[in-house]
Amino acid sequence: MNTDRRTFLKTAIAAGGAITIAPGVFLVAEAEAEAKPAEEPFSPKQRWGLLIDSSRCRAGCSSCVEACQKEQGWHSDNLGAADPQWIRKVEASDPRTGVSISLPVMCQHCAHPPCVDVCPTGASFRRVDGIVQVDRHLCIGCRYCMMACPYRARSFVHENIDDQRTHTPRGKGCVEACNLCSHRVDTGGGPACAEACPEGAMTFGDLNDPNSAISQALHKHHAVQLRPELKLDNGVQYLGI
Amino acid sequence: MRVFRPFLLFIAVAAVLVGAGTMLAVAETPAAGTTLASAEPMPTASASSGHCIMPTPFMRRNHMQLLMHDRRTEVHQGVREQGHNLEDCMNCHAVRDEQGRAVPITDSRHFCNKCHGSAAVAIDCFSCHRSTPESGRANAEASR
Repeated sequence: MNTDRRTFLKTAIAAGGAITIAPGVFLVAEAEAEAKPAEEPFSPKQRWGLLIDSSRCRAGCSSCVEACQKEQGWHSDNLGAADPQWIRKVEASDPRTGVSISLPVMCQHCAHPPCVDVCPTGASFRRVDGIVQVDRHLCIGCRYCMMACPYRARSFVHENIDDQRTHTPRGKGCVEACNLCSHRVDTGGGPACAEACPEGAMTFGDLNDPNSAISQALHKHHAVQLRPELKLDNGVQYLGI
Repeated sequence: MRVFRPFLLFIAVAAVLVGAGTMLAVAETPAAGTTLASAEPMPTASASSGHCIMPTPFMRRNHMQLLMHDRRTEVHQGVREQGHNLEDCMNCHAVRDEQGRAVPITDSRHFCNKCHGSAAVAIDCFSCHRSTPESGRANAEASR
């Protein structure tokens, strides 16, 4: 009886897992189909975005942060507020009702990014496919972009580094932030955080493709952008806040 | 003729000693530039594939232009051309220490230091880029 029950549970869990991961699998397959050939430049036809369902984001869970650290090779240098921070978990609560939400915050990949406006060297730039990132070859470490970002998404590297990931060059004296795992996006994948989320709360895809999972979800649900009054047209949007 | 034989022997011994001394100097201070031989450093060839992406004379004069060009096209335009990036350079030209670990740029035996140390030209690439193959890091961590 026990064995039967165990077998039944295994089957049920396997089936449930398949259903749960199905959107993710679909998404990856779709992204692969749309991935550009490596030797071709980005296409302005695409605009990569991320939809985060805060109602499915668990308080206390930091899988996305850990996945980002592992993928991009950053970690705490015990510098407190001056630590590198590509993505962070934010817990917010309404003092009147006590209702609290949990959500990850990273670079919002704005269509009109203030960090790009203020950069004196052109190091902070927006790719034609919507990803906002720092060209470290040009960054002089002035940190104007950190001041300009309304989401506190950027951080500065204060310490020498010698254990970088090959695909993520990082160095002392440069500003850095989430780049939506551009090295993975360019080869047909998606961000590590979205892949690692145990609740499947993060959906990555092409905002310009009406058939993509993210576009369909955005048409079905009312998503909001952080600080919408700034009219920055964020690529990262949220449900349930 | 007999008179000159000891002199010739002296010359031969002196030549051997000078030659050995030069070789010793090269071995001890590969980047010091004190001898003619060390002023022309010979970096190790590709260990894995046996040849570089371009002939050595071309690479010696133009590797910086290739890297400069690719960094613009890759970072700003997303052209990720295989075989023309710093990662592949490091993978092929890694210099291993006695424990078989790839030496970082802070080590004078690093491939780039063979010439750059000799010419006293500082390299900025590795203040951000990794100077060893990433699999080397995994090996080093595993052996700790």
